[in-house]
Amino acid sequence: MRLSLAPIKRLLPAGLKVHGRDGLLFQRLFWGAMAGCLATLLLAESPILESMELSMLEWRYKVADKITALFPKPKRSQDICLVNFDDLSQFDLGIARFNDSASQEKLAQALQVIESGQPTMVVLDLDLRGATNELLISTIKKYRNVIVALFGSLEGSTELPAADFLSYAASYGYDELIHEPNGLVCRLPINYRGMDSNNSEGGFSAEGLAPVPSLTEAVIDYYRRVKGVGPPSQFFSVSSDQPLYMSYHRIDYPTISLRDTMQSDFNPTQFRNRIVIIGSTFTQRHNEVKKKSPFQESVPDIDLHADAISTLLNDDVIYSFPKNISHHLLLLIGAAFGAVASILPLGMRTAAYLFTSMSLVVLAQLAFQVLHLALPTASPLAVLTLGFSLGTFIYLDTDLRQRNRELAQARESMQVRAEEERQRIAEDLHDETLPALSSVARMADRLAHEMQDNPVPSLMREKLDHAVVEMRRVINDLHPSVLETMGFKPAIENLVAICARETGIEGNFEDGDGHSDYNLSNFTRLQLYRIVQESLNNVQKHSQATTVNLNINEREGYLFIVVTDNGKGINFKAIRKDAHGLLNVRQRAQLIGALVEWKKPERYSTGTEFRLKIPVIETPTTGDA
Amino acid sequence: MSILIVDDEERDRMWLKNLLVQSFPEHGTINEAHDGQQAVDTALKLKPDLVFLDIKMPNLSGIKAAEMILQKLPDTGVIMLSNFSDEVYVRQLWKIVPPNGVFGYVLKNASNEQVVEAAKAVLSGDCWIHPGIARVIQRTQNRATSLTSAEYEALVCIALGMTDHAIAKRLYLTEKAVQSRLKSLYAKLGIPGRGESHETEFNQRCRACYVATRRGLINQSELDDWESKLEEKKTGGPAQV
Repeated sequence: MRLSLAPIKRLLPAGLKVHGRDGLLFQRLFWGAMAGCLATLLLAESPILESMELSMLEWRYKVADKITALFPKPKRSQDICLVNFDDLSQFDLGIARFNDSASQEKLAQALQVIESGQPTMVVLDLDLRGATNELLISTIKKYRNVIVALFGSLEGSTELPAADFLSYAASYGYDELIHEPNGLVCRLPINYRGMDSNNSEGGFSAEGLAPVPSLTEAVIDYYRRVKGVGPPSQFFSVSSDQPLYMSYHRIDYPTISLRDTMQSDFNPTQFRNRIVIIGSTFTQRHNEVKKKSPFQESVPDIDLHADAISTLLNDDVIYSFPKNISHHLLLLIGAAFGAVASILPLGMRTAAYLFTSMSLVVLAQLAFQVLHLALPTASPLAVLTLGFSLGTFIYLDTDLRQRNRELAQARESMQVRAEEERQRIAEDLHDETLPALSSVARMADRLAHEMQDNPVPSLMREKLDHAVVEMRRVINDLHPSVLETMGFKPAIENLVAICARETGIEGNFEDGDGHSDYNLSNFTRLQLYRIVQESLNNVQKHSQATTVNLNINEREGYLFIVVTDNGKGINFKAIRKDAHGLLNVRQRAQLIGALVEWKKPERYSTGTEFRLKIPVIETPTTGDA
Repeated sequence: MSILIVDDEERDRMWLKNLLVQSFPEHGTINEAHDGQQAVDTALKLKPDLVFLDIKMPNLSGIKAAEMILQKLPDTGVIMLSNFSDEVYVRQLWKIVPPNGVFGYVLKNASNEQVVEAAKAVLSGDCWIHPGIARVIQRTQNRATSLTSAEYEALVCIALGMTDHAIAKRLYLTEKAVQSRLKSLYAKLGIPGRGESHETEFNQRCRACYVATRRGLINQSELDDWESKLEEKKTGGPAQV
């Protein structure tokens, strides 16, 4: 990580502190932001999230419905009146479908009754395929405020009503009002050979393909023409990736059965200045997915149309947030949250995550209800979650590294302090206790001279000499003063010599570079000294070797110390669990950042080669060799 | 005869000075220095015959100081007087002392007699190494010329004036084995064999003692130690020598 950050660090101002906590902060922010961006890229376009988004939208409708239910408002529609062709009408009128002349004639009669009530317009949303009735066509032509919805693909002629019906009656057509199975979108454009707008007589023009409105649009268009005012047509020019959503308010539409309009005592005045929608409550279309609204699994088309129309009339459209903007915002949010998540302390991060997610949901609901804006939530939540997880990983990772570093530093400084303390004790013993013992010994000498026949003073001398020898050993164990007085290499050489003398193993010291000292700290020198001591000790105790070589060499910025013996070699399996020798060497090496390894030597058939490698600042060759 | 005493501890300087004044009535000036650098400066200025040096001193260690003094004044007798018993210092002295030069290495717990003995030895051109360290050094300084413990034992025995027969008895060896040990000892000390050269009409035993003393392999204190040990052994002490 440090390596990959190096080019960026180079761009930073020279004086900027990039180590320690500051460097960590920078690292965390950087990688957190990267992780957030990655999360966004992964999740912003996910199709799974798109469908999730829709179900969340549905859920938001329900919540909105529950909330508005707390504040009762008049919900009875003043604009729209429904006329049902329901099961009852079907049986009482003896009509199953309006696909023959007789049934269409009955419809024409009903239409005349309704028109006598002077509605603003009548929308015919019935399957009129099949034969054409002259009366129906003449009625539609007479009142000129009837909008007929056509079924089926307009490209395939077999599905179409009779040609003459089309040419007179098909003012507007629509194909499928709602493609979305959950019925939330209020329009989908279709391509249709539309009516020539100049030819208001209803001539069917075959010229050119024009984008032709949906039923809802047709209704609104006509409404505007009749009333002079109305909802603007801007809703019909938005792109398809930014759908508009209906607002469902569970509006109560005055509903009359088609059968009732044919009763002699029916009063059509209730239709006055209203939009009358005539439609069947059961789906007449084959292979048709049942429509659903946020509140109902199966909704008649007529209700959906009514909802769509009233949404537009009441200017209640819910806009969706433009996707191209939301993607960029998402990238920003993801990066920001990832960065934040990677620096927050552990105790706060989960709370922050939950708080952010909850406020996003609440914000989305508020925007939905107050601003009529459908904010995307599924992708932001997913991005937040992934960004949060990645940020947490980054935090933990960097935290672990930092802690490890601090721990290592603490260990080192503890070790350094311990060594300093030992050195101090050793020096005290050397400077105070040894001279004191020596002077006592000399007093004993004087006594021995004065009391020739008394053996005690000379015995005292002997005991004191033993004590001094022992004390010297202790002092040397505490702190090898050879390192300071003689320098590093003679001290190491001395170790080999001592090992050779004490054991009779042939000891060879091979000086590879001729430097007497290296650019190493006192602490490092001491640890190296102890490591060599330990490894020679191992040779002495376990290897049964007859020769041991110690090679010391500085090469290409590294100091190599190689201890080779021709003993029986290390059997790592046989090393006891409680043996500290190798572990001790490893720990010391780790402390000073040295690499150690044990392997089979090349120059002997059996034995052990201990190699140590430590980076060292090159020693000037002009140094005292 | 001028003497330079170098030690950072005033107590030690005082002790040594008093000792030298008592033991060498014919002494010349006795100067003092309290660190290595000062020692070098003073020595180069006064050219003393004998320099007592402590090893652990501020500014410059005694070993370094000795090296610098001996570079300029190779005839100076240097005696290290220290509490360090590591043989590395003696080895280093071997390296820095010129081939004909002499040095002494005395530990600070030495008795007054030992210090005086060392001073006298060095002044008369012999090396003197503190007992204990000496045995270490004779074995490790150089593999080709260093003595094995058996050879060293033999050297001590002839220095004590023992006959082949006595040595054999004392060390539980046959006389032949003793003779073969002595032969390798003479070879290592560079003493020509009896038949090899007619010009060198030395007694090999005496010559061996002379060379060994010269090199500081044996000295009075050392021999005293051995003498007492052999006495113990004679009277039923531990067989180990």
